[in-house]
Amino acid sequence: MSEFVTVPRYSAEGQKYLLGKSREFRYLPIKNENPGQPGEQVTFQVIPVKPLNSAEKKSLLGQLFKWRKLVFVLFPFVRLLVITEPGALDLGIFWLSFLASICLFLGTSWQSDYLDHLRGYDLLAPTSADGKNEDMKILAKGWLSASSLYQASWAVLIAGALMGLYLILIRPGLIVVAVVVAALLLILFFSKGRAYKQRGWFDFGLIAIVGPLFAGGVEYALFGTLSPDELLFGLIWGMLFLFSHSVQSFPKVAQLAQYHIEPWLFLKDFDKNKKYFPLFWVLILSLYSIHGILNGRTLMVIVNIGIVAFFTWKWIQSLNRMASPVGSEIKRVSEQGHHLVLMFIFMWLLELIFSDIIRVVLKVI
Amino acid sequence: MGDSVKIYSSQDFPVYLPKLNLLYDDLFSGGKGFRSYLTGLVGKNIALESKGIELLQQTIEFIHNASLLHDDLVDRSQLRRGKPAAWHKYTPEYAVLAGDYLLARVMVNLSAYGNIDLVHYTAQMISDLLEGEWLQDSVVGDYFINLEQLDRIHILKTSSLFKWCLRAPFIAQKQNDKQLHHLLEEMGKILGQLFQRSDDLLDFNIRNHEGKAVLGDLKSGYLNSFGAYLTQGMSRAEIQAFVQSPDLPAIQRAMGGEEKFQEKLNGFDQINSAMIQLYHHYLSEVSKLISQPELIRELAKLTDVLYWRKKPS
Repeated sequence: MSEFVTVPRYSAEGQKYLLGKSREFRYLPIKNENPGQPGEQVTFQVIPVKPLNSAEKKSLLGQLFKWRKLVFVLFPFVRLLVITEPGALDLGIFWLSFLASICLFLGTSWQSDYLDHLRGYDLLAPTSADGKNEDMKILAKGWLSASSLYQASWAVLIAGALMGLYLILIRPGLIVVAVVVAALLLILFFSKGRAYKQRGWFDFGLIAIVGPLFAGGVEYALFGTLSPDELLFGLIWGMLFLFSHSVQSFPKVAQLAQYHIEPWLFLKDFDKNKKYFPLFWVLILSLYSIHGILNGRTLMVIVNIGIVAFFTWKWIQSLNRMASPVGSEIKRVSEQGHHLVLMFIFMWLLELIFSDIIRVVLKVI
Repeated sequence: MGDSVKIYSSQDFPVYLPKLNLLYDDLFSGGKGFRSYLTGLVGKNIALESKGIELLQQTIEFIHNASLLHDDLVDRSQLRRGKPAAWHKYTPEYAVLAGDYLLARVMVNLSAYGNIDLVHYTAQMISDLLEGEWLQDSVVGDYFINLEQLDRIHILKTSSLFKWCLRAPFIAQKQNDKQLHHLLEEMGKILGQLFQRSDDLLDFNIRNHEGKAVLGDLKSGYLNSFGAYLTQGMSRAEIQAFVQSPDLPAIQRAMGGEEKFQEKLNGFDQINSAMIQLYHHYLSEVSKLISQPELIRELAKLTDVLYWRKKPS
């Protein structure tokens, strides 16, 4: 058998190779020819299926469970758990909402990976002539077949939807959140042309879904109420997610521009991003401060902002020093930005845990 | 390249401009003329009229030489093909203007030919080339860059010309089959990358039959593709030590000895062999679309010439 094979994307063979149903060989798509046109063809590299080594398995699990994004699903629950008076929380509903959210998050992420693979968007911007890309995903690497991921995505989506249905029976108002999120996702997933991630308004879609809709939905599911405080938290949370997503995508800024993919807020322009990122980050920190002060946690907010500001300053210096959109520095700066977000979330958690204790200590003093 | 052609007519350039023709005489003497050879190879095999072939060969040589004029100034390289670089021998201003003038002549000659697709594609190629140059300049001094990041630059800077050599004759002949052009585009991309990687190996004295000066890239603050491959998996401190190596034995010591260096070289050759296999796969797909078996045979030989630096048979 030839090591490479070129077939039409939408032929029976092409779809079979893309789904990866062969038990002996993996067909790794390395190049799209005529993408988006009727005669679109895909060139596959054919490699024998072999067991993954331990490093690959570790990397597979990391990519499969989307740790970097999963934290944004976990935190709103942890936050409510910490700030709620003991006994005020129905633990059954809490765990059900928690599991439903994780299932729906993983299911939609895997569906997205599957669709990207089938439509060829995971090959949109290879950096080498042989289709290699430093950020290749697990399907493109052949570590998992697309059909397995597809089946797994439906399994967790159905599990998440069933749990969600049960929650809707308890809190009927949740139907509004479910319908709006589902509508947004359907429009994003199934709109023709580019993948949803490359649509300009996706930036705002992200803020809405991860922010007020998700955070507000969690509060409503747990308590049957929706407070302005939670909506403000949701807005900050959505903005933080967009910031994190954009900072992590920053090393792809040159590829995105070459393929005329132009989100509205970030990743348009290398030099402008070096200004926009700090501005957006300062906006997030300002909203966080307002939120904390309104909730009577001024002292902890001041401490947190002080610490975060120190690392922010160092990060901005690295950002300004960065000279190239394709060199090694942009990856480092992107990683530093991601760590800054994680540190901020961790500090926020500490603030929530210790603010009550500090308040008591201050009263005693 | 026995068949190589170095097209240059003094009529193209005004004789009254001081130093202009002297500068071009220096520039166009020397060089292997591989790009014009490749363009001629494709053009002749698809029976493109000789006027068209001549124009295309002239075009690619003008663009390539314009890029050398600008490149030498950007890199502050003192020598070009063993002689003083134009900016150094004349003035930086003349080097910039002479490069611009060549690009302008390209547009004058091509537009007179009357094929708008060819003009459009050539302008696109020049803009890709310049993007590559710009990006390359932005990574000077970045010793932690990886192979794939460099590939992105080389595809713009080096491969754009090779892609043009394969596609332009078909465009000149108004053969615009999209599938064919996509395949040629991929083949050109691979040829450019192989050429660049082979050239980068010369800098480490690998298959350096031409006796090119070694470690020139590192000394100019530029980690080339083989350097990036060698430093894969090294810590930042190890990379710092590696790039400060004064000579090749020191490089080999930094790699853990000659044997380890050889192992790395074998690994590099292996990934490039896989790319060569992909090139031949694309070529077999092209052979289904065109009926020029001689062209296919000639194109099949190019990887040996470009990567393994074998003499053409």
